[in-house]
Amino acid sequence: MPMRMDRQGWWNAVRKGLIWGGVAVFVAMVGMVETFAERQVIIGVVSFGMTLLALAGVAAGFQAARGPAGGGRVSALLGGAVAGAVVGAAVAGLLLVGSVLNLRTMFVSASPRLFSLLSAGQGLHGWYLPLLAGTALGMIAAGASTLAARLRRPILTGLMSVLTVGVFQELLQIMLGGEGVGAVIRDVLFESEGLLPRGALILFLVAWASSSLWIWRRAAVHVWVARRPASQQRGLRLLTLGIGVSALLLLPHLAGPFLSQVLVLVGLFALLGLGLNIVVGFAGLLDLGYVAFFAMGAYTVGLLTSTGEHGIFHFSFWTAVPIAMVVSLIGGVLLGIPVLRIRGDYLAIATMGFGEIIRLLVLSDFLRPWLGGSQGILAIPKPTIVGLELSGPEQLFYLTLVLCGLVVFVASRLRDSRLGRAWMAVREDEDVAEAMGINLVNVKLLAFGLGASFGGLSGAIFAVMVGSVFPHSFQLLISIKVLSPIIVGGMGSLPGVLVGSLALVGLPELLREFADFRFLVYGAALVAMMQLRPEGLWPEPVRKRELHESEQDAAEPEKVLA
Amino acid sequence: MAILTARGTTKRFGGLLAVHQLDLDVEDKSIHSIIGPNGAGKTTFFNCVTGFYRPEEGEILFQGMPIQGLTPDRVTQLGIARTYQNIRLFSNMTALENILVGQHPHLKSGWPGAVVGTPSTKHEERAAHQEALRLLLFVGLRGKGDFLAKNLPYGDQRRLEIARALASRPNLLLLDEPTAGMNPRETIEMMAFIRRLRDELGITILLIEHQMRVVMGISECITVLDYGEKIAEGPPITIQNDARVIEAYLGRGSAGRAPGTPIRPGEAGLPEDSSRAPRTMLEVKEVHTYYGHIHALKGVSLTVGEGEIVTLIGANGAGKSTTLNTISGLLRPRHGHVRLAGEDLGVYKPHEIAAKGVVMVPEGRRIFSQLTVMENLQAGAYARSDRDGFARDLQRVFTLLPRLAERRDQVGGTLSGGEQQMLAIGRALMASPRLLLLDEPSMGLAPILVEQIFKTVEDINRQGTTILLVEQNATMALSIAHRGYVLETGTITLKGSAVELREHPEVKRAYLGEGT
Repeated sequence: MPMRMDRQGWWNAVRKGLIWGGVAVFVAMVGMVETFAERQVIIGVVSFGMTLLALAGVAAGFQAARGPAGGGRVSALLGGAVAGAVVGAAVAGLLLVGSVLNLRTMFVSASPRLFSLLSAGQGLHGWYLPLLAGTALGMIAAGASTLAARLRRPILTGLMSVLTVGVFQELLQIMLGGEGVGAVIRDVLFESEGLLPRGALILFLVAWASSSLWIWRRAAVHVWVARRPASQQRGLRLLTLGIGVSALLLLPHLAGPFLSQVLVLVGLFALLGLGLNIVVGFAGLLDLGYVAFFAMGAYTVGLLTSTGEHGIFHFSFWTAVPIAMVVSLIGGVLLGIPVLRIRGDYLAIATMGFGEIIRLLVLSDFLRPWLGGSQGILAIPKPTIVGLELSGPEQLFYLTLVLCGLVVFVASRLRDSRLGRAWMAVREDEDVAEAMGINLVNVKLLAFGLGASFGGLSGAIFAVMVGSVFPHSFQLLISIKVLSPIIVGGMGSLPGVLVGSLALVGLPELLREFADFRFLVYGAALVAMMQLRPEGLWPEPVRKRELHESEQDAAEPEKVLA
Repeated sequence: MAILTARGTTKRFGGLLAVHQLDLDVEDKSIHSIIGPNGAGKTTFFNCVTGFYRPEEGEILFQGMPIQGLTPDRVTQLGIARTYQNIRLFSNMTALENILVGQHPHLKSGWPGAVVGTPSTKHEERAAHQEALRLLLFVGLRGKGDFLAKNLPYGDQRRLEIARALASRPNLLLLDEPTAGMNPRETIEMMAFIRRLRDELGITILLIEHQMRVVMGISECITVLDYGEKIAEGPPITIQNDARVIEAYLGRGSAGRAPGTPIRPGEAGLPEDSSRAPRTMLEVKEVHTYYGHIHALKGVSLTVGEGEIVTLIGANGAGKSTTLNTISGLLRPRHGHVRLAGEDLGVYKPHEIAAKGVVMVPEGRRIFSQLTVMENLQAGAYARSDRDGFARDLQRVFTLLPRLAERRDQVGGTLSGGEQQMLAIGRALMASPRLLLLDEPSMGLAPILVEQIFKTVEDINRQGTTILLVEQNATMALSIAHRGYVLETGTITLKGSAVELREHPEVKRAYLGEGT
């Protein structure tokens, strides 16, 4: 193995460094470093803002070491150091320019505080610090990348645990509570402001040890399970399922009202996503006006149940929900009819227009007497079950959980049915699908209609969750917020929608400073997904099977011959 | 009794009469072929029958019932199924799912039943799966039900497409070039399979096909189209000797020419004297190329000398196109080198390799269908800035391929298959290549056009361009090439002069279709 890097290897390292250096400078210039400087990962040691910068150096080093150059460990370390140094140089360059010129006239976030952060308070004299840090981080990352997976994984798990706990320390401290065992753990790990260095070390060691243990004993555990008799295996599966379900059921009590509120929101977007997934993921019809059905559901429930001036019937929530779903279903079919012959990009634009039309109609003076215009519909009562009012976020969490479960069930049954296959055929090749005897009109309208009815269902929950509905809650951005988790999770995949919603709806809510950067992060996440993992975080089983198949393919000829 | 009858069927595209006043009767339980030059309107007629197009005039009767103007799904439900010239499977669905979609018209259960899981739905789904498995077995795809359609080898994809068509339980099956891109061995298997469809399942077959061995071997009746009109009809023996058919379609000599005979022996650009080896232009050395985990090329080595035509023959999936794609930089080899005049091409991007004079004519032509002929040619010259050279090469292309000059303002997508192939070659020539990589230039072309294309290839070579030719039609390829290589499952198994390969018993058996 050559110990020296060739021209290609150097260039690759520099290029990776430039890319990630650009990312680091960008992150600093949009203000993320400064905003997140408040959020300490380990108290007094490192903030989340600095972690973001550090991650750029680590990523550059890791990628440079993994590049096409190959070669030995020395050249990997060298490449990592070069890439990290380039990232550091980019940040140092920003520091120099920012200290000499006043960038603030153009970049609001290029504040003195930012430059003080970048140089660890040294100002211009600290220009070499980012360079050193970048080189070191790049080298460490490159070193880690050359380790065997069984050694690297536990370290990574440990670091991720520290990062997660550090970032979400506020919530975790509340969850641990003020007394008993929880309080003891809290006092060991945390101070009032955040994670203690001692706590970080303990967390790292615990995560590292358990990850190592799992990697070491994983095979043995699998063998042990496989050797159990079938009845016991089923029992074990039921047990895991039971633990999972009870954890979900207990979650609101452990998490408290704020986290429950976030989870309700996640559930809401998951519901919307599951509905849109039928249209976009199953049938391949890109619908950007999905928010219209969300609005229809919400307004229907508002009109039917409100005790305020716009309420008509004062129905109970449970009567109103099926009506809302039917109204949305009809809306979906009505939208579907004019766009039946439109495909691809044109369909996306046409449906986007539909979404806006609904919002503007609701907002219009013409419908104001009935729908309340921009004032919306107020005083929507909370649903009750056998006399129990589902008022708080904890109770609403159960409602969304049950409905999510139901919708996942229905969607999975649909996917595996004759209709589901027809949808996928339309997605793959519309003309051929029609030549297979599939009635395109029926199949497409069913996709639009059924998808829309789930959208209406989420709208209904939204109405009772907020207690009022306003037109401004139904902007185009909602459609995009629903679509993004589907893409990130994996087109057409049911678990993918849930994972995507957790990642793209849940996380930004928890990190409130993120609010300003939410769409930046969405965009970055989408680009990153398309580049690195186009099949999504949790792709549908068929797509996963495809990966296994390439291994199978190689084995196939022998099998045939045998 | 005729199962399908067309009376005065006419289909226009703008001013072009694609099918003109066509009368056709397909006898029940017969195998009936439609042949004719590219652009004669054969596929257009299929599209009229299956409801993709609505004919402007005339009548199409299926089992005595008029079907013109029905939507494709209705036509399928009546009992007509089809396959496509360029395979159109649902590529991201499994083989089994493809067949299940084919059964769609015969399944009755609705979505509410599926959501609730009613016993009748479950029963129907189970029966449908059984039926799909049976069909997989019937077409010889046992055990491949869980494969994604796009991951199946080419021949299996053709079979799966037929299985999907059979799933709709047709009485009439339209096959559009079922043996396109198959080598003689696979072709013979496909012929036997088509006969089984008729004999065992009693399905009437209407077939579009260019391979005369197939057409003459299995058809009971042949209809010949030219410019959208029927010019002859009858049993194979009559058609083979029909003067108009020979002139319009078969080409002089080709119908009777024994396989393996060169068109013009010894007339190629270089003397067939292997002792005077030309200077090496391209060297492919020990190249290993992967698709993910699949090891596609397992140490391929070959050389192409300056001024040579070298051909690479082999079965589908042997790695011929992979080799060309590796040379042109679209795929990167994991090991090994590709050198052009001694220079390693591994560090260059595809467009840089093209700029160095290695230009590919891709399989399936891939012309820019929305651009005119002239614009396509200009796109081919994108990388160059010399005005004089451009004008000179344009003149050269128009001299070599006069059809392109006639059609210079026509949109690429409306050209016939043969013209599109010419355009693809012309586009590549506009980049003034030193080395031209040709991938299956004769695929899907009528015999008379195949001869024309090969003559053009020879002319290009005689003007000094080196050529590496990948071709399914080994007979033709070896008749114009100086040397050849045989590629099998990613490895070169034979090499030699074209004459040596033509005489090699293994090549004769497997690729020239002599003896079985």
